[in-house]
Amino acid sequence: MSKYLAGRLLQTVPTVFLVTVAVFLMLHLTPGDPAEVFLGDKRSSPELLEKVREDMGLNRPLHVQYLSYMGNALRGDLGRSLQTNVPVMEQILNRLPWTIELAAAALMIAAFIGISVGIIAALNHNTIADTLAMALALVGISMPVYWSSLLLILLFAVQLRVLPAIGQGGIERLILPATALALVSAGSLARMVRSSMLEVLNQDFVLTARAKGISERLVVIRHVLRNALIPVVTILGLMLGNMLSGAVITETIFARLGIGQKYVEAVLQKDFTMVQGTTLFIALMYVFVNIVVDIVYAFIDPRIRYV
Amino acid sequence: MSEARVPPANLDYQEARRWSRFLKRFLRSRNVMAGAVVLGAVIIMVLLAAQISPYEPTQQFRRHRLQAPNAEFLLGTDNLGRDILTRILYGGRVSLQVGIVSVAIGATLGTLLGLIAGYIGGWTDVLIMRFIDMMLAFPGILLALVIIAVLGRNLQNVMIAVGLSSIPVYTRVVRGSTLSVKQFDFIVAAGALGASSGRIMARHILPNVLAPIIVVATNGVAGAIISGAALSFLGLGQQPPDPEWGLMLNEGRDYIRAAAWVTTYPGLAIMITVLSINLLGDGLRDILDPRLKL
Repeated sequence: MSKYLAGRLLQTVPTVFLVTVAVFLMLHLTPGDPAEVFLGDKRSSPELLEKVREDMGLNRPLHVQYLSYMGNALRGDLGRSLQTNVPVMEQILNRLPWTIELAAAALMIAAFIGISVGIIAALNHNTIADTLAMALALVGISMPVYWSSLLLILLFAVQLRVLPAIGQGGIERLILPATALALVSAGSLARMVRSSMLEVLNQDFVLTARAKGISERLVVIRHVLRNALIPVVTILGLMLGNMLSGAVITETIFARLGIGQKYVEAVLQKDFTMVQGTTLFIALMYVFVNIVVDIVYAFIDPRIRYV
Repeated sequence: MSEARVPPANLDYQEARRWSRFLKRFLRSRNVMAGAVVLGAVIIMVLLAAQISPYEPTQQFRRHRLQAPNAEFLLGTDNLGRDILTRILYGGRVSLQVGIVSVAIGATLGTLLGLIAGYIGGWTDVLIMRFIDMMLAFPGILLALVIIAVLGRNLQNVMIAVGLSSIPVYTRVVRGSTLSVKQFDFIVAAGALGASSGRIMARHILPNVLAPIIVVATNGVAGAIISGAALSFLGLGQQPPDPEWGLMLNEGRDYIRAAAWVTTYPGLAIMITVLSINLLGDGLRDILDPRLKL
């Protein structure tokens, strides 16, 4: 186990390194001098430009700049926003809880809908229920999150007037954005659970269990589900990534002041330090989640021992 | 034994048989046919936008703002009095173009990297795959957003961004298939006969890994349309006043209470198109799945 763990962590090192380099280079890859980008529309005299270059340390060699950027980042300093001059890290941490709340709620809804629909479809293989469930799943997959968000607003906020359309705080403001965010993932999850279940249902040990005469209920719960849901754990981890990036859109539509909404704002305003810092934060968070998922996966499935 | 008497010149014949078998399964699958017919209709309507749309896409009828669907404006008008049907038809050109161009970019580069990683192996493989891992650390639309942030916001950059961010899927699929194909005797034989690596990859491996590429690319077009429209929805792609489905959805957002049709129809257009492509892609996967046949 510890060997597997060490291997998995070691494998992440180059990824994290490349991610930080790529994010660091972002500012330098944008057309034009970073100092000009920094000053933005403000009229920049050569003296001012030179001063900004000096302040930003842009006159130093690239690798020195990278090391100082990373040194600061490790201490939690991602620079200041070009627009508001507030530290980037502070803004991220202020907004993070709202995004985590949204992503967690969406993940739970997606898991609930996806797993139940998948199980129902698999247990009724090749019946109307199966066809219907898979048709629903296909519609779910084909619904862009901005479209399902607007539909949910139209139905529950405009027509039925039972839930608020925008804002944050309280469960009633969480239901619509979380559901919208969950639908796509629920669709693909349902398909995966179904095919995973069908695969397990065909295995010999299921036949044995049935032959022993235990009730079909027990066969499904004890033997089929336990095995079929193992790969689903990995998928759920990957879905958290989709949730994080989907939050960019849902937060914009539902006017939730989370990281995603800030991100779009920063891209639109060319607030490069903000974009840079947030990108680094989200990417590293995602890499971390993936490690956790892999470790959990190895724990619940003792057959996994690859390095 | 009867096979042995078939002259080798009959390769064309075998090829034709494979095609006819493919076509038969294609025509027999209800889902695939439904997807193909709907998608075909969408493509024809969008291509004929200039001929069949009643008005001009940016033409404003100031006296007819936010009109509900009626005989004059079949799908209603938006806040500037522009005909929604016309804008959907013209906007579809952009969405389909984004879908196809991005997939072309992503599939070409991704396949190339996958072939090289899989066939050459060694350090090249390690380097390419670490690079792909790095790209995968930016989930979903995030990578496209980063690329737009660097390149600037316009439609051309949307296609580049969506295309580049789809590279990892192709690289992984192609690399995996290449690894299994390169074990075959005919590849080893080609190498022994002195064929260069480039030639082996292009002439011998590529044709054998095409099936999964086609499947991934088909579903990829649907994904690219969704992502492209998402970027325009966020104000990072197509700029007003030109129409695009995602942009139209965003423009109608403010009027959702009073004039729901402004958002409903462009959304429906995206969904129908994506649904038909997904039906087609799922069907192609069932038919072409290399584990089943090939």
